Amino acid sequence: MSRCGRTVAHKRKDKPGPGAPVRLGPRISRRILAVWLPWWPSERLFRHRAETRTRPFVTVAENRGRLIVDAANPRAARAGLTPGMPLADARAVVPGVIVRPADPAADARALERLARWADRFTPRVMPDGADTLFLDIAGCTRLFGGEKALTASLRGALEGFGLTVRLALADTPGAAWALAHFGAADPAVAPAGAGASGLRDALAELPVAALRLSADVAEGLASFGLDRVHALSAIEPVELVRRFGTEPVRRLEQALGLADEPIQPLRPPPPRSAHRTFAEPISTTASIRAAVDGLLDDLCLAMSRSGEGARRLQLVCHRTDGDRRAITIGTSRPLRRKKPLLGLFAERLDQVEPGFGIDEIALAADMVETIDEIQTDWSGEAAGGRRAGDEEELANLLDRMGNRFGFGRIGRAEPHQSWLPERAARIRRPLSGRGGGAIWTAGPVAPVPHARLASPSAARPAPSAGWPRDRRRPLRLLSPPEPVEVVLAEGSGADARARPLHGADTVRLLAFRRRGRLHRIRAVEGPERLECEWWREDAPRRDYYVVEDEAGRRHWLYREGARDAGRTPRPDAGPRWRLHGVFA
Amino acid sequence: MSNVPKAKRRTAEALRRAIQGIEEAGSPGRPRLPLGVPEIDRALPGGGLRTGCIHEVTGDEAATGFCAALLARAGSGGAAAAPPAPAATSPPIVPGRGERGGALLWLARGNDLYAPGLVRYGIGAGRLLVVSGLRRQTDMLWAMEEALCCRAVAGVVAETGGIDPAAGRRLMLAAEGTGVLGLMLARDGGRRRGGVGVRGAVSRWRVTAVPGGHGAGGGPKTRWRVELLHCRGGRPAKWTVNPRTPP
Repeated sequence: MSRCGRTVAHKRKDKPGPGAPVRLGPRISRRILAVWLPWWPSERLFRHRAETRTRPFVTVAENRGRLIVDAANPRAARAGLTPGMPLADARAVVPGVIVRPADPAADARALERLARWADRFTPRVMPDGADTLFLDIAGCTRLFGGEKALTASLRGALEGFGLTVRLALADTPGAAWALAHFGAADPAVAPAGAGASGLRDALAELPVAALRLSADVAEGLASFGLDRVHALSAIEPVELVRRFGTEPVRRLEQALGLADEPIQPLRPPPPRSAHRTFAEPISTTASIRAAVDGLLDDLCLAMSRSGEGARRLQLVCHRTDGDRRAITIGTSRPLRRKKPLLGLFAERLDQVEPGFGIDEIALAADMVETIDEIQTDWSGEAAGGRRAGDEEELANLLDRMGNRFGFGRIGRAEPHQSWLPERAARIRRPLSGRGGGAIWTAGPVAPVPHARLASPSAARPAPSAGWPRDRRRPLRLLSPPEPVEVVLAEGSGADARARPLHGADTVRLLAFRRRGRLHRIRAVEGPERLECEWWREDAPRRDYYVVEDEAGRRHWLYREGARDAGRTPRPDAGPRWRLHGVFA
Repeated sequence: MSNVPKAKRRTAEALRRAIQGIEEAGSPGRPRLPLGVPEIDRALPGGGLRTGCIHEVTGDEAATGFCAALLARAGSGGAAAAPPAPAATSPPIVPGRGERGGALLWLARGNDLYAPGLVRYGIGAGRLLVVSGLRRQTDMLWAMEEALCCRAVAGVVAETGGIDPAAGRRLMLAAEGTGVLGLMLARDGGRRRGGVGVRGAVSRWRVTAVPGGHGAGGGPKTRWRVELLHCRGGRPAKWTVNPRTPP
């Protein structure tokens, strides 16, 4: 690389435990955007229904045998319904109030989903408490055209969801939280790089509850007349600790940035990554390829040191115009050899539209797994007499196909214990499960052990490793089965086409009509009765016939819906014939 | 033949070998894949289908069964016997294929291939890798070429026909390098006569179902008409076969 700038390959730092905050030397600058959703529980429940926005609505929780209002929507709050009020009182104030049970767990799950959604703004998003999100937007603002534009676009999106938001920006999570909940402006912004004194000024006039204190501590402080942050910060910390414990001091120090408060993002940073910045933007496919080559070198070296391999890699190209292009590739097994990985990327590098040029390329292994090294002897023969190179080559082939067509299109059909033909084969996909597994073995796979459903009595034959060989199964299975008309005639025992029909006498199958074309039947085999597991509801019960037409083609027909003793007919009763498959 | 002088016979043998060498374009001594039906194997040069090249199969559903049976034989490894090569040539090498056979690939247009039905033709449960939904010809050819280039693959079936000569040549070159058996399966519902026309296919087959009479239980027996429409170094012929389920 002639034009490469610097290359950084780094490993994720161990997160500091919650009990032991780590003081770092020169602090990495942070910029925290706090998103407060004041009406989250109510708006989450009914943001899709417009009428609930215009009507009072509360959620209630049971507390000592009474129903207490847990959260209210803005309309109900204006009417005077506040959390903590008994439901009976609330109904007295607003007779027509809509009531739903509170579900804090679902609220928290929804908040986590919202946090995952918000990672389009920054990868470092953390839900805090029941109704707040912290976004560390340091370094991300450039992509959105500055802090103000990012804040506006986040607000626009959230309000589009029907949520009420209050936003605040500060250098610490504590200060941002305080400004979001109690700040006068919206968004309230504490200037970046203000330091502890700047933050102290920004928070001075806020009530002490803005420091995220527990209710009794806040009450205790208020009883001493310490109701504002500036009053609190004027007192010696030692005095505060003596009377109120460490909490007010810790919270104050966190808000001012004197004590560390780590953000633990929902999505952990990729375990392995490497990136390159360019002094001059690059734009040709060849130069992008060369950059990827170099990045893979770094990444593979880092992974080989730790004995890992990548299952999923993402290449992100940052363009000079602020746009970005990403390519994600998957592998069926952990891989850290450069050549196949580069091959997988190379096929898709032309999808990167460089525009006016790319000034930064980042490569991250989102998913890594430990590689089980296989010892081979000098000839490349692995244990078990199988050539290790074969499996490697096959895996590479199917990785290429998987990345081009999607791994969902590749599979091995394996037996599944069900008599219903469409369920008798289960497809195993390469990306299902850890390690990719045996789907890539080049030779025949070992018999699949079956779960024994019945008691292991000696008389019962052991479940076979495959599909029954003594039954005829078609080569192609139509899905869904095609309706056909079957011409029947009164039966006579001498005819080869005479078959017993369940629920009727013996009849002759003379012909069937499929898509308007009549096929005369020459020979019939069956019926073979196949049915679903009895515990499934609405289990179909089908009689299958193999029929041969005059041209010699063999078809798999079934009849379903016949009236049987001990079984209530389905509402759309009457036997129906279907063509389910064709034989060779 | 017995009254021909020994020297002439040797000359004829050498010429035949030379022609075969030219035909096989630098990869002499590829193993042959016998079909297991002596009548058909006798009609094929070398006693079986040449591996490391493309064969074309057309017809109705029976062609699917025929391809499955061929694929199963290709994957069983041991069935791929070396051609009866004269002692002068070096012993044939089967690259990249261990005793347990290589992978079997089926590149399907749709999603209707039913694995339990393949067991009858020798492809056991979990043996076949299926790539489904390859409706675009370009995707199919790309996948076919990739598969033919992979030494870990024993055989590959592509459900396509009517490819242009350049693509056919590419596939041939890919297969020659590795010895993979490539089958182009073109289902035409049994209506069209003649091959679909894969340029460069070493042999062209047409397999259709014919009435098979009644089996033991009165049910229809499987019977195929197998037509060899074209074969490099062989003559067209036709047979009627009763496919047997391999043990």
